[in-house]
Amino acid sequence: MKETIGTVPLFDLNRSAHCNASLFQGVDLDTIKGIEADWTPVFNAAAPQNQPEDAHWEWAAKALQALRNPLSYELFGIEADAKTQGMMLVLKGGPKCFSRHPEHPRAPLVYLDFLATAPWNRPGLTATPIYKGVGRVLFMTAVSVSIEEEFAGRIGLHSLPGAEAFYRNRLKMTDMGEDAAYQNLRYFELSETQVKQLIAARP
Amino acid sequence: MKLCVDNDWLRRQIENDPIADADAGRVIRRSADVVKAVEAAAQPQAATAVVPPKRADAPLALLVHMTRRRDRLTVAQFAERIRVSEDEVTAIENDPVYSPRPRTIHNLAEYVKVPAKALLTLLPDASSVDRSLDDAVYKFAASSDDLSSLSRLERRGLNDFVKFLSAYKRGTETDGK
Repeated sequence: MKETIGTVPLFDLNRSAHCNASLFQGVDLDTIKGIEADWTPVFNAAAPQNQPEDAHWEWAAKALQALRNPLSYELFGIEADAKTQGMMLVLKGGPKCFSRHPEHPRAPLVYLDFLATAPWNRPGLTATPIYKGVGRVLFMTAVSVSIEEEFAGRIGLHSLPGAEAFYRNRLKMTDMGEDAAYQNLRYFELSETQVKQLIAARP
Repeated sequence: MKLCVDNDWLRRQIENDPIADADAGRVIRRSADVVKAVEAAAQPQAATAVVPPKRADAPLALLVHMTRRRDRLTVAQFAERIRVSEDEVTAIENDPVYSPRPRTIHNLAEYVKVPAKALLTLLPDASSVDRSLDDAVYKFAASSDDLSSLSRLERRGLNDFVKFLSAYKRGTETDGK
């Protein structure tokens, strides 16, 4: 159910050096357990009203096992220090997987249903984030899925407010404006041309 | 699966990335959030049902609405001109999944001066995947806004779209080119 894709770099902000992390596809009991044990308490500390009810991970793992459907979506994660540093769910089909970009209206694309980084890596939640690069690696994984699906790397996503600058300025996605159908989050797309420019980019 | 970039590329980019949030889509705080997301992903049809189509997604509705505005006709007047009921004109304009009767299509095509076959490609249940038609529809939709009378840009968008439909030969055939 969980398969390692390979070793990817992250940037360790404490040591100011790159380190290795594992990129994996799918999810297993340990990942689910880790999210409940490691992520949830940090989020709860930031928002005390969001307290855990019970051991959600157990039923969550069972539910995910039953729901496995590689034709319509893929789950990815990054691990370092034996902890999940980020997770991403991409959709490969369905109503959200059509481009709204003027370059190729209605062309199929991969839609990022969620890209979530561990709370200790989020500058919006902690003054001293641990790793940098989780979002970048997961995003490029989504582009790779899109290329494999013969969608030419096209990507669509709704950015959370704190991440808009990253998608607009660093990944050079097209900001298509607020989406009233999705909590007014801004919708971004990476067009075919932008995919080529992104991959060819030199820092 | 193989990544489309290598680790050197990733290192260079990550090093230059700002320390910034990158979260997108659903908020994930616990394992239950992951399960909910996957449950929804496993049932894409359910998501379809809750997203109501807009007029901009229904090119025939837009064409009728814009033509009526261009000619400064009320729904009743337009219905009279194309010899169909007011209810049908209202349904075409307001219900993006409404499929008009063949006679209505014929009369409408006559009024707009485009081949009826071209209008069939604009029906909600048409199976067209023709890229040139999609592009024309998109440009047309993008040029329109719901103002009381047509602006110069809207008029040009409508004229271009009618011109495109007049020359459109493929009908409901699809070739993906």
